[in-house]
Amino acid sequence: MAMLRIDSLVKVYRDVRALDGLSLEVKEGQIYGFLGPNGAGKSTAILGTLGLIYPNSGRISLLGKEVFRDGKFSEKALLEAKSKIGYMPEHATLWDFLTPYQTLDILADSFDIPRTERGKRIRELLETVNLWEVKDKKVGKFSKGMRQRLLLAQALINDPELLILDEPMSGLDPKGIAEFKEVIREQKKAGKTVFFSSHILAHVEEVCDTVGVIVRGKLRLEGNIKQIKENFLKKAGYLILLETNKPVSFEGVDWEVERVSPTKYKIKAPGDIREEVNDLVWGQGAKILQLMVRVPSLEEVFLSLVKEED
Amino acid sequence: MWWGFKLELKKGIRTKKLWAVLLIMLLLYIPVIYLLKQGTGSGGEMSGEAAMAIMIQFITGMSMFFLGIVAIVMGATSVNKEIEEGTIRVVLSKKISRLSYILGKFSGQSVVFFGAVLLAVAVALAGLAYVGVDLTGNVVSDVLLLNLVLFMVMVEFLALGYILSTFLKSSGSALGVALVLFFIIYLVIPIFVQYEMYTHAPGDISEGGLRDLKADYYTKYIFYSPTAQVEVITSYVSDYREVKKTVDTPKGKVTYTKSIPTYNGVGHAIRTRWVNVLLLFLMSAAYLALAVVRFVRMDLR
Repeated sequence: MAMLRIDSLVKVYRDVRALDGLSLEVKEGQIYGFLGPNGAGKSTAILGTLGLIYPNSGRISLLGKEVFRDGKFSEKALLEAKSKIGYMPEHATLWDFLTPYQTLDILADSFDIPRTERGKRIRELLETVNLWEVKDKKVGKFSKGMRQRLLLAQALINDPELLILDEPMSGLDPKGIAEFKEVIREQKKAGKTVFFSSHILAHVEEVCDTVGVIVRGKLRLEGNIKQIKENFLKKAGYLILLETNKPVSFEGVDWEVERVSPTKYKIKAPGDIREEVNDLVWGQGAKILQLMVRVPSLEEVFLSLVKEED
Repeated sequence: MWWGFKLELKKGIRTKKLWAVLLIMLLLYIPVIYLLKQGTGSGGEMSGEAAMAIMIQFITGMSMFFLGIVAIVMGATSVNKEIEEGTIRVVLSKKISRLSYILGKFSGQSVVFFGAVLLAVAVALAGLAYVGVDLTGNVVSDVLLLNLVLFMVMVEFLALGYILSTFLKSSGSALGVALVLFFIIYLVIPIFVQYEMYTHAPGDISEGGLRDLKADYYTKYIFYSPTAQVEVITSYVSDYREVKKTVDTPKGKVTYTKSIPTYNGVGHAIRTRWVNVLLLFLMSAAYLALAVVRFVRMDLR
C-alpha cells in the first residue's frame, strides 16, 4: 500500500511556483529520503501533505485514502489519516512554559490516548530521546538540540504508521545525528514508514532505502542512493586524479585528459576506469604514485540538475 | 475544540495573561475605592447607588482603554505568532481540525478574561464593603453586570485582533496595526462623530436629549466599536429629571432648567440600550466569523 502518494501537485505563492507538478509515492515500510537544495519545495510538499497549506491543484493520498483533490481537502479523511501520522516540522518551538512531560501529555490528549497508557508512553519516548532526566524542566530553558529531540518525541506520541520529518537533523551535533538515525532505524525495524527531507546527502545516505531528489518543485530523480549516484556518474562522468613518476602518453584513448603538471593528470571518463589507467601506465614502464577517483557530492548532483534545467 | 480550549486556558494561566488582566483591573479599582473611602471618611454615609455611580464614572472609560488594548493585542498576535514559532504546525498535524482549534483557542482566551473579570468583581465588592456600602442585591448585580459588559468589550476586541492575526503574517506588524486601529476606534472616530452630532444638535437641547442623540449617532455610525457601545450603555445608568430653578440676579429673577441625574442601575441601562448590547454580541460574532473563515483557508507557513 502507498502510505503517501502525491500526484501532479502544484503550489504557487504569488509569482513563485513552489511545487510544479510534483509526483511521488512512498510505500509501506520504506524509509524515503526527500532530498533537495534549499528552496526546492521540500517543506511546501510536506506542509501540503498535512493540510497545513492549500496546494492549487493535484492529488494527495495518505495511508491509502485520498485527502486532497481539485483544490480541496477532505477534512474527515485528513483527520483520520492524521491520527496515524507523526510530523516533526522544521524550525518549530514548543511551548516554553511547559515541561517536556507536560508537552507530550497535552499532545497525547489530542489523540485520546488513555491516561493509564499515556504515562508509560511518555516515559518511553523521553527515554528514547534522552530527555527523561529533564522531564520537569521548562522547555524554555532547553538548548536547540534538546528542543529538536522533543520535537521528535512529539512526532512519535501516537505511535504513527507514517512518520514525516522535515529537515530533522538540522542543528544537531554529530552525537545527536547518530541518535536520530538510530531512532529512524528502530522505526524501520518496527515496520513503520518514514518520509524525511534533507538537503544533506550524508544525513540520508545511511538510513534511506529510497531517495527522491526535488529541484524547483519537481521530482528529478528517484531510486536508491547507489542508483542515483550511478545514474549521475553515467551522465557527469568520473573524475580520476593520477600522478606518475614520469610523463605518460594517453594517445589512442577516448577519455578527456587534462595535464595539470608533467606527471599529474585529471581524467574524465564515463565509468570507473582505474584498472585501464593502471594497465596503461604500467605498459609504458611508469609507476603510479597516486590514483584517486572522485565521486560527485549530492550538492554537485543538485547543481547539475539546476544547470540542466537552465 | 475542547483540546484547543484546554491548551489556551493553561497558557493563559501559566503565561500570566490572566494575572496581567486582573492586575490592570485592580489598578483601576483600588484608587476608586480609595476615593470612595475618602468621601465617606468626612462623616457622610455613602449609599450603594452613589458608590456605583462614582465607580462607573471612573472605571468604565479607563478599563475599556487598558483592557481593550490588552485584548486587541492578544488577539492580533494569537495566530501569526504561532505560525512564526511553528507550534501551530505541530498542533494541526495532530487529530485536530482548524475550525475546532481556532474556536477552542478563542474560547480559552475569553474564559481567561472572564476569570479575571470574576476576580475583579470580587475585589470591587470587597472594596465597596470596606468603604461601608451595604452590599444589597442591586449593588452586587450592578457590579457583576458592569464587569460583564467590560468582558464583552474585551471579547469583541479579541475577535477584532483575530482578524488582524489571520491577515497579517508578521506578529510585529499586527501588533502595530492593532494599536493604531485601537486608537482610531477608541479616540479618533468618536471625535468626528461627536463633532457631526453637535453640528446637527438643536441649540436648546437638554442633557437627556443630548445623551439620546449621542446614543443614536454612536449606534448608527460606530456600531463596530465596542467602546462606543459601552459608553452608550453606561450613559443610561442614570436618567435625567428636569427641574426648573429660579435665581435672583442684579437684573432680576432668572429661571433655568437643571437636569438632575437619578441612578437607575446597570440592569436598567442594559434593558434600555439592549440594541447596543446586541451590537456587542453581533459584532463579536461577525469579527470572529471573518477570522475563522480566513483561518481555515490560510497557508500556515
